[in-house]
Amino acid sequence: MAEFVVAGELVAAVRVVAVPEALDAATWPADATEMRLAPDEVLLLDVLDATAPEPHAIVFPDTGWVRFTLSPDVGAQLFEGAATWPPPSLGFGQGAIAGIPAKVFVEADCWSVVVPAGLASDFEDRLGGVLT
Amino acid sequence: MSGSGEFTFDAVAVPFVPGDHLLTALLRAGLHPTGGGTLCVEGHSPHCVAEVDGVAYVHTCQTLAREGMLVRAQAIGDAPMLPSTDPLAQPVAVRNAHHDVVVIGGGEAGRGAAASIGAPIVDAGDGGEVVGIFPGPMVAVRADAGMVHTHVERVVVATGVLPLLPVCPGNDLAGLYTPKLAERLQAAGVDLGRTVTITEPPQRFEGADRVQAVVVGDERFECDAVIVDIGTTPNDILARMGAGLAVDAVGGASEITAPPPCPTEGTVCPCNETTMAELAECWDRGFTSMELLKRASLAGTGVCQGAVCSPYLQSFIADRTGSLEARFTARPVARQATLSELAAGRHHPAIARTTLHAVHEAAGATMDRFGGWWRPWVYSDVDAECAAVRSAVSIGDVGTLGKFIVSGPDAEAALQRLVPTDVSTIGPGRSRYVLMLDERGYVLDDGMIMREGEGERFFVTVTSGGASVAEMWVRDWTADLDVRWMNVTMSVGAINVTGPRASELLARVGFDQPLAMLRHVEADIADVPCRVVRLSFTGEVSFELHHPCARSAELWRSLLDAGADLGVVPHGLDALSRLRLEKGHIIVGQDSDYDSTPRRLGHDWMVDLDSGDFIGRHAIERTGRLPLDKQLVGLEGDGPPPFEGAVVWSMDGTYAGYVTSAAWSVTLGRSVMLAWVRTVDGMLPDEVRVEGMVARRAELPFYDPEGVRARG
Amino acid sequence: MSMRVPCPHCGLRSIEEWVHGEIPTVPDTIVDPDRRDVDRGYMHTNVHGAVREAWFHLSGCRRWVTLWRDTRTDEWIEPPG
Repeated sequence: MAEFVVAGELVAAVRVVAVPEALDAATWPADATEMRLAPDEVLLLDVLDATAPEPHAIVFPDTGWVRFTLSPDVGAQLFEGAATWPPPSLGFGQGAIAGIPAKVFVEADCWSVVVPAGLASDFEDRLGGVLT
Repeated sequence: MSGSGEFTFDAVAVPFVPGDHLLTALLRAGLHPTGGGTLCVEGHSPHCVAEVDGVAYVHTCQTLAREGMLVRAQAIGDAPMLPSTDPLAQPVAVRNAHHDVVVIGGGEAGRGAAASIGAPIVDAGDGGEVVGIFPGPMVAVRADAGMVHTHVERVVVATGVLPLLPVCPGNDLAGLYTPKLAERLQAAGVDLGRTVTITEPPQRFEGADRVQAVVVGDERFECDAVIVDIGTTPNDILARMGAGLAVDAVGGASEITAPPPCPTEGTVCPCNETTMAELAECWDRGFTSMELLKRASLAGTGVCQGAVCSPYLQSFIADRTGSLEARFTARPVARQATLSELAAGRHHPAIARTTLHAVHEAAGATMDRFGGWWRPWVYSDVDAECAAVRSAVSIGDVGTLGKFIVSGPDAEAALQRLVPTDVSTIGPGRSRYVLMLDERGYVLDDGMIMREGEGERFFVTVTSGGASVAEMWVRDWTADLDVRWMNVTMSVGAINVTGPRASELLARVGFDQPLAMLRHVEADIADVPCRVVRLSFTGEVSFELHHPCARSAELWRSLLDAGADLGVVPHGLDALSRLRLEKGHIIVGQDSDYDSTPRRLGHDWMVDLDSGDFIGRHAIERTGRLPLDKQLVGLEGDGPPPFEGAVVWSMDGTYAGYVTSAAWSVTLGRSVMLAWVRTVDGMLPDEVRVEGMVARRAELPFYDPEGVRARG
Repeated sequence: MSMRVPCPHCGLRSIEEWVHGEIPTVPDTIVDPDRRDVDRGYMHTNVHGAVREAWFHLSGCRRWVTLWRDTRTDEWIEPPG
């Protein structure tokens, strides 16, 4: 059995909405995992605050996300069993996994799957149905 | 691997030897799965289907015999019982694969195509079978471990050819085999008796149940079995299923071959027992093209999906028009599939939980689903919960509200466009209850707009369950403006503190500043950073506490602890719904209908026609000139409350409308209702009848009409 | 079951992730501005061919995208020149 955390954990995050050019040019804290949710929206994991990249930007410390940390093997197994889209080879991707909107960040040794906290319980149940 | 053993066919024990398919074992025992008809080994003839272990329409030629299988004869035209259980209750596993191109079929053409384009082959001797090609394209394969869904850019169909099955009188007799099946049977040691091989379409087969003779041309051959070797036809059902998709056929499946001679009599569609005579009847009634003929005669709509009839339908039409018409379009599925197989990879909609879900459950709440959320319906006693709100203080979880942060130079202009009110007059620290209308002037949603600080920044709440629709709506209508929207529905928790002692409770947890109605302020409450909004849905003094959702449970607990001696208890949705009904507050989606203008809802006071352009303005101005045809009104009666949806009758017995909300008001000692009621000669009736009870029209709100209590 | 919709931000995703927001077109025969305004809600030309559509990627970026589709084949096409 691969080692992985199948229980979700609340993740420290900041969400920023700003004009796309400002997000393109912005620099974030070094240890942030950057998920570009939309051209004008970014979700930063593992940070507590961020500098507004433009005067009208919305910078929102966001406690509404739950992260599942998976080994690459388990991550691949999850996609094979529960996603109709291929995982990114590296970096960020988003779409439905097991019928739940999910964000994934693929690194060489670790996959982070993030879902809205309100859906984390259902997601966890469904993970159990897919991963063996 | 299957060893020797026995399965049962209806009540008969049927022995089998290793490697036997069900069909082989049945024929060896002198049985025929459906009683008669030409059998093949391709899984296409409809004559070999049976119910196997509870699954209907299984091709017995494709299924290896296993010990103890329960096989039941099934008439090929029968509709099996639909399962009464949820197909997702015992989900079938799915494996998703992604390729640019796949080839279906492992024959010569398939291998050639696969080699030349470097594509994998599916359905090649791995025990899987292609169930269908779905839009995507997606090739669905049934395998031992479940379903395999292969998502591709393009599909190459190389499924070769099929033996032509005969259409003539007697084609429903037992003892008719394709050459490949005869070979398999002989190799398996099945004694076929006297066989005759025919290489041209016969006049007829003769016999009672089993074939005893075959007539070809002028000749008659007595026999026990006929090997029907009368030609082949493209196996193109998957190619036709991919019409409009990126699907190409190669090899035999792609060949355009001359159809067989048109039979003069016999059953052309064994699945629906359509005869050649019936085809001619349909043709004479004007169904003179392939698709029409199929629909009128039903030929091609059965279990085998045209495996027998499609070449003959072509020859039938060619005989009458002189031209070769393409076969009819095929739709998934090509093979029988269970609902569970088709549901593989599908899920029920996920129902969201607030961060207080576990707290509600621990408090013994009955949870139910509303607007995509699990919500506490009642904790223990709805009357006690109502009483706490009316006479003491109570807290409720409203974290399900749709919530948005709006910012940008055009934020005010964006909101101005979305709601029929003058947003510029909502000053810093103020909020307003607003409607959202569509272009037809109908109410889409309601909610609150709060201006934050001095600038162009707002917080907006909408109805629980309406957040996604609202988000689509506002993004669509403000895409041209310099405005930023952030949906924080699942990130911001919200607790409503309501009741005459609400202020007293908040003072105990650190909030003791005065806050007037419809004002809001940021403050720490029990050390949790909150936006405190003074409003009222229940009719009592109320504060909505917006806060980071991860801290909801902590805040909830602090409020309950601090107010124990004040009698604070949580209230569920049942209580909230009754309390707001006493106040005549509508719930959009429950009390509103698809055509509810603010005027019909009695909410035209919320529309400010001096506030510039807003969505629905044009329609409101126009419909505002028409006579009012119906209105949402308050009704009260002395009997028990009717069910929501009950018909409202006028006193002379004509239909007058229906009830949208109803409850027994403990506070008022009577039933209170909201109902749609039609006007008669421009007037609303004073009395109506609901479930036999006389109900009086009442001014809204029923409770505290002066609004004294909410202002505190 | 599995039609895929191309999201310019997220990539090709199953249709179940999307909400279809057709852009309604009023038949040219309706010229009265009042009628056009109302019939925007009720009358669709039901184009047989290239049609401009709005799609909302609910399970992904949660943004509207404009796409052209050939309604005869469900192919995604380039906007007609």
